[in-house]
Amino acid sequence: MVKVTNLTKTFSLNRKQLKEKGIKKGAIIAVNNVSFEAKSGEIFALLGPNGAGKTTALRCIAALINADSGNIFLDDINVGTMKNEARKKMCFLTNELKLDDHFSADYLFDFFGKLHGLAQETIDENKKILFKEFDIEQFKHVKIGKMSSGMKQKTAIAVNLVHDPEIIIFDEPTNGLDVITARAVTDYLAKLKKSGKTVIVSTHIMSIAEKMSDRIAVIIDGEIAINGTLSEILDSTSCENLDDAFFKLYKERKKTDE
Amino acid sequence: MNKLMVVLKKELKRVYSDKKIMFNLFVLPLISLTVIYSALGMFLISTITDTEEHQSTIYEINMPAVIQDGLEKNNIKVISADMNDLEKHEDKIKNGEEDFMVVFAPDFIEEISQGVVSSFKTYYNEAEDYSKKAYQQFSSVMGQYEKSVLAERVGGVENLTVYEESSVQLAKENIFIIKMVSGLVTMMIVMFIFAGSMQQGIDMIAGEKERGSLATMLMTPTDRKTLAAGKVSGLSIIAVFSSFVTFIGIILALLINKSFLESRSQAFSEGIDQGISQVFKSLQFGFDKIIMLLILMIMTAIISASFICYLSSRAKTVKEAGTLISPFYIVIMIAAYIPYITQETPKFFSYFVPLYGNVASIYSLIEGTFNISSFIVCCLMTILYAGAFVFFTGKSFENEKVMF
Repeated sequence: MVKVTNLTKTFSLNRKQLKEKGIKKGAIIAVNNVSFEAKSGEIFALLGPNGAGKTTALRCIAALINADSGNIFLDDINVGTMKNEARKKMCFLTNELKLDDHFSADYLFDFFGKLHGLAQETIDENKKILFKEFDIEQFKHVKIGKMSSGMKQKTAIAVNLVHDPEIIIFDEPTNGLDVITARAVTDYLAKLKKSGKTVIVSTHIMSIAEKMSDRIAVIIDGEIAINGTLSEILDSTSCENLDDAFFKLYKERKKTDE
Repeated sequence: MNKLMVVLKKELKRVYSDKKIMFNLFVLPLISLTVIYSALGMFLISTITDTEEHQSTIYEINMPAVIQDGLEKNNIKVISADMNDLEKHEDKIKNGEEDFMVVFAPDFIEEISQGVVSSFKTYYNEAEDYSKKAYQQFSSVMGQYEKSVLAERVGGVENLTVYEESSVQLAKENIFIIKMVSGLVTMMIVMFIFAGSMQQGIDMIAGEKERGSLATMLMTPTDRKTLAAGKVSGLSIIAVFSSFVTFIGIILALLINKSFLESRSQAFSEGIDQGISQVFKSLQFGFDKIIMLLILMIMTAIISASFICYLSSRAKTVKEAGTLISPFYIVIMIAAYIPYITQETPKFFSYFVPLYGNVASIYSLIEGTFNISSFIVCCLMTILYAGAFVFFTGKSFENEKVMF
């Protein structure tokens, strides 16, 4: 279970941004007072346009960056104070996380397994399962640099799951993937959910959120606009589909801003 | 410790599994150093031997027989010239085609015997080794002739002696040359060590950051300082091996030029030039000097690796890391030449300055002014600074502004 309470994260403006705004000091609120809960055995989707704060929120949960305020708990582990404990429990998958081109999938799986402190037997067991799941077995000795982008992405996912984490955080899971690889990834996420894992995904694609997730939080300009199951969101917005609901919420939000 | 070894092994595998990197890091410096030093040695051998073996030729006009005899006894060829060809000979000497020319006054011997001050005019080219040698040989014969004439005038050589000088030479002559050669050798050593670490260190951290593979490592429950220490250790080992190769290159070059260095040292110390003799002696490394040089090279490799890792961790891209590190590469090369420029041996406090202390230590060892206390200070300071750089690299890995 992942529980996020009043998460806020700001970034100082860089020189260029300060110059554009004509100010000497300033900051952007990337995530403002965000709260949600993702339970075990469910897929939770953070849905929002580009720049809405999805990735920042997920990076805070993954302990890659520190929140300014608020709390993040992975079961009873406070991410803010027990980063390494939190990292043992979860994995963060994103297109930005890549593997070193000079090594093979087989070597990197062992390498990351050891960094997670796993015994070689455990690594071998997990390797067998994940390489079969993502069809990596026949390419396991091929260097990452020589793989296709789809294979690279599947290998990165497999390697990041080496420690069989309870919580899987996936930033834009199908971004840049061909339909076959994208399908393999979404199918695997559904499998993880079935096995009782907590899955949090961020996406700007409505169909992914609609088909995959049990609960959805729509995030606009760093704030949660709505949070609930698909039917709850449709009821609340009086819309027939998520697409319409999202645009209604988006327009309302922009009106309030004006 | 276990995770540090995991990271270290990965960084080493990255190098030894890549033929291109292996060639650039270990084969190229070995070839370059051996070739450069050997070529330098061969150049010196050919220049010096050639000048030594060359028989000087002197063109003369009105040269007295007594002087010609003296010159020929010293294996100098004397050729009579025509006054009308004077300009032609001048041009040839200017172009290095002829060695030397002298024009005596027509009644040189008669004038001297009458007590009249006579004269002669010499033509030579200071920039040409053959011409310079001919001039020195001619001056030496003329000096002896002048002494014999004066002895005759005052009734014996003993009457020419006013006092007897007895002196002990304590200062190193030609300190300029010693410092220049020491600076050059130091620069070559440091340059290869730093360049070896630089190329790999940039790729190891800034490169991995740019490619996104470092972020994947940061997602594991591994302490940031352990990650940093693993990378620095890996790079240090690579740099140490690179320095070994540099070292082997120097030894190979010295072995190739061994007989030459020994003969030069012997020849120069026989009184021709003590300064140059000192340089050649410095280059003939004894066992203790070899061990000290090896340790100093390892220390330089460690501090270079840790410093490069730190700078690389502050950069977001390979390009930025290159921009950050390159000025230090130049500074280190200049540092090797500071004692040569200032004409001063590195002061004791120099050994406390990170990187410069290492450069100064190698320089002093080659120059022959190094002592054991400086050696200990340099080694301790290196460990201290390398530890600090590892700590700050770890801090950079924790800094979200730098990493993401």
